[in-house]
Amino acid sequence: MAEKWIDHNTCFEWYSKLEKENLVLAFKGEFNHELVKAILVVTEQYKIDKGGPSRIFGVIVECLQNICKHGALVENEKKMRSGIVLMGKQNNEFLIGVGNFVHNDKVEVLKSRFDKVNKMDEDGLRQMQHGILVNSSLSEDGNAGIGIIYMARKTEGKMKYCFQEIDGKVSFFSLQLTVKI
Amino acid sequence: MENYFKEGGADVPMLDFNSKSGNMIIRGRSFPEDSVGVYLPVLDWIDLYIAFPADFTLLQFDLDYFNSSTYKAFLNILLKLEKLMGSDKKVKVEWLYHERDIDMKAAGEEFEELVDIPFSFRVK
Repeated sequence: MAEKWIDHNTCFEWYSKLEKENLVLAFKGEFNHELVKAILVVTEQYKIDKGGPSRIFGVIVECLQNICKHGALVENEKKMRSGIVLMGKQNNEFLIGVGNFVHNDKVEVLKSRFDKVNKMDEDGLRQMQHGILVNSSLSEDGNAGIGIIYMARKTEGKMKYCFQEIDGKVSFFSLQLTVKI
Repeated sequence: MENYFKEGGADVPMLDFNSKSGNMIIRGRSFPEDSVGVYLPVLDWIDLYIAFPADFTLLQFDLDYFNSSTYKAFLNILLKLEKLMGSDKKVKVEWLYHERDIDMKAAGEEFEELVDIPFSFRVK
């Protein structure tokens, strides 16, 4: 039998690492709707602490549902939609990091969507959101870009993204967001 | 016509639409995996309702949170009820929010801009 690599030290090392980085949530694995619901239970305590703002809750949901809907299936035996989500808290700021695989042919489309939204101010984003809402149909796939606009409106500063090409098929997409409550 | 009632859950709100009284309540949280599946039956119900509406329709949004794909469903509900404006029937929207949840209040104000139905806002 192979040597077990999870021992007491591993647990403490990871705990200390997360504590040092002010991380309140770290998950790596399959992203599906049940996970979204479970992570919300974790984030909900911060919502209650601060008397309401649905903001942190909202941004996390958009990030996770984006991965559930648009993430690439990883080419392993389980064919799962794999990703990572990290959430850190410092004073009244939450830092959210999400990462997942996307097909290479989607990279340019995603980049241009983020770049477009990052260039707009609140008024422009609001108008863009209204335009999409009024002109799209209920059944349109995904939510026709509303999710990205929603994220932009609820986060501080620009949304930082990165694509790292893994192989000829997929890239690893990561997104960094800051939410103030 | 029958009422429309669906129990709420972790990711879907309670939907309580009463055809006789004209009271319609959407309460809880809305971030379903399939928003079309949740809201299409409601929209179909409203199509039937507006043919024989109550004298006064009161749509109450009492939400803690809703996601971006729910936006479109809510707008569609409002646009359907907007058709009653200008008839001899009255329609009103009541938008509830937690006092410190400015985002939730702002979301209601944006819907108010998009439809021609009177809104009132109330802290819960």
